[in-house]
Amino acid sequence: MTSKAIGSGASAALARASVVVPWAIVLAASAFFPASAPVGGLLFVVLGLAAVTLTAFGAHEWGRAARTSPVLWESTARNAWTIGVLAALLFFARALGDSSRGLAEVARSLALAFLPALYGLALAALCLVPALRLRDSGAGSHSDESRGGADRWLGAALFLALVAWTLMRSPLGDAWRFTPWAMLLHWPAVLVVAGGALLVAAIAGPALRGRIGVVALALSAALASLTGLVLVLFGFADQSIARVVSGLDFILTSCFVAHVGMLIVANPIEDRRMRGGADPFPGSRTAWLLFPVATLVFLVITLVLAMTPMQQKL
Amino acid sequence: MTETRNGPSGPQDEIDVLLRDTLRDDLPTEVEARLERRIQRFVASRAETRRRPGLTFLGFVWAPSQRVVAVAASLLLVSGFGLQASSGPDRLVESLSDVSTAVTLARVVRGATSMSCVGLEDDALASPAALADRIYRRWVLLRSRSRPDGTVVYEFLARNESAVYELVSRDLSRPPREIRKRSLADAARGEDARPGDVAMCSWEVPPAGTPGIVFMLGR
Repeated sequence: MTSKAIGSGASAALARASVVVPWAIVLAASAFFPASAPVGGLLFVVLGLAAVTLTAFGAHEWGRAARTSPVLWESTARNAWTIGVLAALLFFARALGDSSRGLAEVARSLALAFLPALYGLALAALCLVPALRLRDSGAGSHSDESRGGADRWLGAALFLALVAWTLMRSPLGDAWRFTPWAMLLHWPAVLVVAGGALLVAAIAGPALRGRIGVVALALSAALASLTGLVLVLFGFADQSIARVVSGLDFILTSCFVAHVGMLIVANPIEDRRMRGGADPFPGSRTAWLLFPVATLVFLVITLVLAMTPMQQKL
Repeated sequence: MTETRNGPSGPQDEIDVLLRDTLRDDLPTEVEARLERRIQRFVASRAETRRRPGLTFLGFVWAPSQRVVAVAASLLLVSGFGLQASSGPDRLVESLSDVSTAVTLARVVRGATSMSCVGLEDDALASPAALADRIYRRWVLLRSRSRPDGTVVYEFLARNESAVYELVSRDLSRPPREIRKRSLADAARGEDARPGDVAMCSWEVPPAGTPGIVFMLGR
């Protein structure tokens, strides 16, 4: 019994190392490429997907789950889409902060920032095919308890490291006009999203606790984003660029925080429930699909507003 | 009687045989898997509901703390909205303001019908389109400052020429009437532009009511 446990522990550690070591090598190698959306975005989606998958499926389970579990493929498809949009958000903030280059370059970088969302969508479509095939054949009908306790935390840590690395890398221009994290960690918006999500969870009560995370985050981020949009419109009406910027900050931060929260907290909880044979919470699938779309819409609005000349009060 | 009932050829056995024949265990694998899946789901959901009342102590602690969480969440929300009213990162405002200013200047310059500048020979001053192109593609707005005479100076860095251009305008709705050029070294030393490096420009702007698309394309 003990030797069996030691054996399975060793094989889990080996599997973990076989994921983490190449992951770290690719991340280190990415330092030699410019932090542009076409290349950096692709790396972000691939590395992010590997890290987030660890939060619900231990590295030693990947091989078996890929053959038998539709839940693995479905969650990978969903995560690819979410990570693609998150990467778009990160590279968008980088492009805005990197405005030490000419306007044309900045506008080009802002447009290119949407490319990772396309990568994510393509990857999601690829992963949905095996998910549908396995569901159709009735595979994965048995409940399947997750056994990747350490991998769960490791995956979340790797993903946070990847996000931090993407935010902190040197700009393509001379220096930051403002750092991307100044735009993506606007504390009032973080408080609103966290408070909103907690409030929804508290109102939902113990019966829905843990299951409502995705919906709560999406709802509170949508509320915060709409508040930001109202601020932007007020800013335009009052010719106050400070208010416009504050509103844009609110929108980008709330989308950023909600995506990260979903990927490393709420989605893994749902995945583990789905592995146990349960259905996802009714609104979760809608939130997974629509919230990233809403984020892209907000990004387009931000792009248009940032490049729209505004009469300023002198 | 009992023997007869349990005997090999009793009526009970006949019923068993009949039942086995009628209700054979020959469900298609797909249907069986689907039923199995349903049962698993049912068992999982039951297990979840069963687990919850089991955590009576935690439930006891959670019930009042849930109210605390609700209050804390409301406080977070209120403080988030409250802080929003007071804050705004300055560098961000400055940066986006510069982007907006540069876009406006490029549009105003591109919208002019023609320009004529005296005092400085420079490719950038060949036509409104050439100047607008420099502002949009090659130059970077460093800063803008107001002068006592009510004009505003927009300082652009032209990296490929190692020079700084200063565009002086009364307001952003009009093209610059004065354009100064300094080398980067002079600008770093704070020296003013030399007499040969200052251009005074006059502009022809389209009459009011010109269609927007014509204005945008600069004809």
